[in-house]
Amino acid sequence: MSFTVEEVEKLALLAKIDINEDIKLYADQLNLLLNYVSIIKDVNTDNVEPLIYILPNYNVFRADEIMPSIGQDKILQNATVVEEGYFKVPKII
Amino acid sequence: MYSEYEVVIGLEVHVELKTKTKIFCGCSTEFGALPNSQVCPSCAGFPGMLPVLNEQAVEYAIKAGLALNCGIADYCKFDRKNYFYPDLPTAYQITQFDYPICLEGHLDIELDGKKKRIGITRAHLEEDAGKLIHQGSITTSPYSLVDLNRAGVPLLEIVSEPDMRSAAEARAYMEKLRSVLLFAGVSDCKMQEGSLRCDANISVRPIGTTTFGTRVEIKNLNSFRALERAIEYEAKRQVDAIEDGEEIVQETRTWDEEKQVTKSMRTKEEAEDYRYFPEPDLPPVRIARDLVEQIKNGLPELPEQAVARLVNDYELSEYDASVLTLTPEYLKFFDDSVKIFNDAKLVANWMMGDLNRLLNNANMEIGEGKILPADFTDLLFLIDKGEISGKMAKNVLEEMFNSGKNPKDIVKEKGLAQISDEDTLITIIEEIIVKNPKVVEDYKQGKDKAFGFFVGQVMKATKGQANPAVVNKLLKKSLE
Repeated sequence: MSFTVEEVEKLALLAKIDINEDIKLYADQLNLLLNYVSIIKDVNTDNVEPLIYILPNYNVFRADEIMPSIGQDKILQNATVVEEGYFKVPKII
Repeated sequence: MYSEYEVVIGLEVHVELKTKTKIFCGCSTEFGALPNSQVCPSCAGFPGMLPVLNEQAVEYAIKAGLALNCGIADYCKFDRKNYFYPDLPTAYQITQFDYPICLEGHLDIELDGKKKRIGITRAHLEEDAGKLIHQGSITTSPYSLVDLNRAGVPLLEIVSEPDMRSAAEARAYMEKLRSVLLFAGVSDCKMQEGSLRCDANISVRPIGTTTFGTRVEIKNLNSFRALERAIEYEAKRQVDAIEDGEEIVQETRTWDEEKQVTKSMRTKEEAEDYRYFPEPDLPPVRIARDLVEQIKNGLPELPEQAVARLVNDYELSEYDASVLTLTPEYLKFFDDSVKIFNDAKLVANWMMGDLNRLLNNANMEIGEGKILPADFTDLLFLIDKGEISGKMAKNVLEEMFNSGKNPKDIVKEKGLAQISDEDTLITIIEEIIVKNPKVVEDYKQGKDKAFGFFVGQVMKATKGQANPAVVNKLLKKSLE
């Protein structure tokens, strides 16, 4: 299995990363990694239950009780643009 | 040409569960707070925060699933759905991908007297995204505003099978779903506040074919009317395209409420691929069978059971019973009223007729109105005893609706009481007869109009308050 240039292009698009010039370089590097971890395919997994979650915990719940929020001022302090208590963002579509 | 095609509809309904706090943090879910005031580092997507599942959300999801005839999973888990959008601070939504909490179920709808079963594929828990505010519509707004108060509110996404074949069926399904969820008590289902939302998957195909056409997903359907109109518009658009030899593109479109059209939401660079993977911060959930059993036993009366009860106990028609069971508050008003005034048909008629009209005009639910069952039934007693006419009762009801006053007080204040007292009426009738000897002659010669003249005069003299039946009886006697 190996990454094609097209697949790397699609990944870059999904991740919103601009790597147009170095695309071949990234594809090669990703393939090196992929080849390395592909050793795992040689392990015999017959009769092994699929593992969905790595820790033994389950049903970790919290009660439905209100905790204080941190406040409008604090949550907005890192915003680039604020308008009337809202985050202001560029046109979406 | 449209009659040669059929539309195939599946709905994805998102319902906000009515927990006090968000699904993975302790922020309040109360509607209407200042923007971005119910937000913490966890629901705002700050790095290093640990989500912890709200147990009440799990219980509501199980309750909703049982009310929708779904199987409840023994085991479920959460996954990350990755995409960039301004209302999603983490750039992934925590949802359930391959192990949802509620499995296959169904909902029966009724349309034009015909019953139809709509399959439910699954229902899963997830977090809501923030709210976006646009100037006008999303496609025309120069910028958007983000409020994260809604980010992290628990949602149950209920996915139907593509079993619906018309806009009317889709609406009937949504209405039934809303009423079941309201009765189950898991959500307030207010479409105008966004606590019940729906996306529609729509495709068309020539009648008689069994394969599905290419489907298009419509978002932003915020009312029953928007749902119906969007489906009608989109089905027609697809048929027109096919007839013109075009191919339908699988895409997401948005309903433009202003222009009443669907518009493509695609940007040319977008490649939809959510790259789901298991959420490492949330351990899975195992649901004990005795918990499911306990929730099942605690389920309140659901709409179908209520309809059967009304038909059985009060001999109401199935249609009347289904209207009275649209919301639990509406049914409670009926039940409370019937306890006081036992003519169920009259209670139903006045609720479904004049009271409903007043509520609709004011855009109100029954619980929000000023009329209480005790006052409402007092009005019915007045009608039943003949103390006011049906026509006056309509006015009194409107006054009750506006002021919250008791009908007896209104009748007294406005002097509206119907005059049924025979002595009072005879005095008035005799005066009129004395004043109009010529008309009496006409009557005796068999002119029917003459009788009508006397009735009219009595009504005029009593400002319309005379009891017509009593007037008729007394007039006939006096004129002989």
